[in-house]
Amino acid sequence: MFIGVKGLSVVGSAVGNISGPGYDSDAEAYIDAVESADGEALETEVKEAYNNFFVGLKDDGLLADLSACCLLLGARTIAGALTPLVPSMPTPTNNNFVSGDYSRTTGLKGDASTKYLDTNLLANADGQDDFHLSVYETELHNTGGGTAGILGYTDFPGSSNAAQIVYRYNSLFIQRAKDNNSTQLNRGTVTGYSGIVRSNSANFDYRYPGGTGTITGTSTPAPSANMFVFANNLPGTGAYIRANCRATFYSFGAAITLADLDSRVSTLVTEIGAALP
Amino acid sequence: MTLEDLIPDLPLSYAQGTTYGLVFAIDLKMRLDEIQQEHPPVNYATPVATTDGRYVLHGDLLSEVGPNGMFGGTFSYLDQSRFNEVEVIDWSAAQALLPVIDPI
Repeated sequence: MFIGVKGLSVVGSAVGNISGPGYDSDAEAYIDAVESADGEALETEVKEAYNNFFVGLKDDGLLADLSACCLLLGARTIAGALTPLVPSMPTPTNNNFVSGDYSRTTGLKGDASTKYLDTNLLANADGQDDFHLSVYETELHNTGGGTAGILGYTDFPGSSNAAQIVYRYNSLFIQRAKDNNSTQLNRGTVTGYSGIVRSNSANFDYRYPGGTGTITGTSTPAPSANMFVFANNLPGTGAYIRANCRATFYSFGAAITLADLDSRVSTLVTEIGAALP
Repeated sequence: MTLEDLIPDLPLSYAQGTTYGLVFAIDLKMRLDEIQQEHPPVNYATPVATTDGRYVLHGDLLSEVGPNGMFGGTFSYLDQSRFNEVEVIDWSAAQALLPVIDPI
């Protein structure tokens, strides 16, 4: 039995970690869960980066608006990286990822063929006109033909209702937000944070490195099907249009200010990179 | 080559495993599904349908089939007498068996 010191109290810990004094309570719970999944304590610098992230989310009023979220960096193992940000969020199901696909600093890498995460969050869990989805990529999808879904769901080739971020032939970046809008944007080659957010029935906002804007598209009800990452979920079929990007973060939830979450995630990525050179 | 030929080398290194694709018929895919229903794992091996009616898994799963591997539990339930029914091919050849999807 190891004894750890947390704040001003003395408690036992399954893996013998000593959390830093004064950590945010949700950060501390997350750190404990990651260390339990990893079977080993995290470095102080990693824990501090996690704590800074939680404090920042709360300062911006973001944490309560997240329905499903994983930090795919910092943890020692995939099991640790798939720890939900808070216990009330669903734990994603790993399909075909192996340890070699994971880097503690650059995240989890898809293969555009077999690998994906099922978030176990229903696409209709958040409001039809009150939702966001986002991802932080450290490597962009880069295989040849076809369409690659970074995250979300699609009912292609059905009625074209989708909430997704996808690539088409590598360079195009297409976003839908529970509508059938087929706007295609030139994504470019800069890695970083991308997201879409809808807060009304008439249009939605998008954000990617170097670009922001609003797209007109009337919302429609989402299906009762789970959101996927490194692929889109095609209800009735399953994982569809897989991607081989590498990502350190994903989130789904209520409508938020994407710029705020971008800033917090970007800082986290920088701090973890500095903590684990 | 079949999976049976690789048994002495298991678990493979990640680098070696990524060079392979594992291709098999639907009856083995259904048996894998049954095993994972009977013994729900944390990590799922989820085959993908090919254009010729078979199924494929990435060979890097073979880097995780040891006792402490992410897929060690599921692997332990597989019937090794049927490993000769799993064709091991280059990953690039396996990818060529997958449909190119462009629904937009």
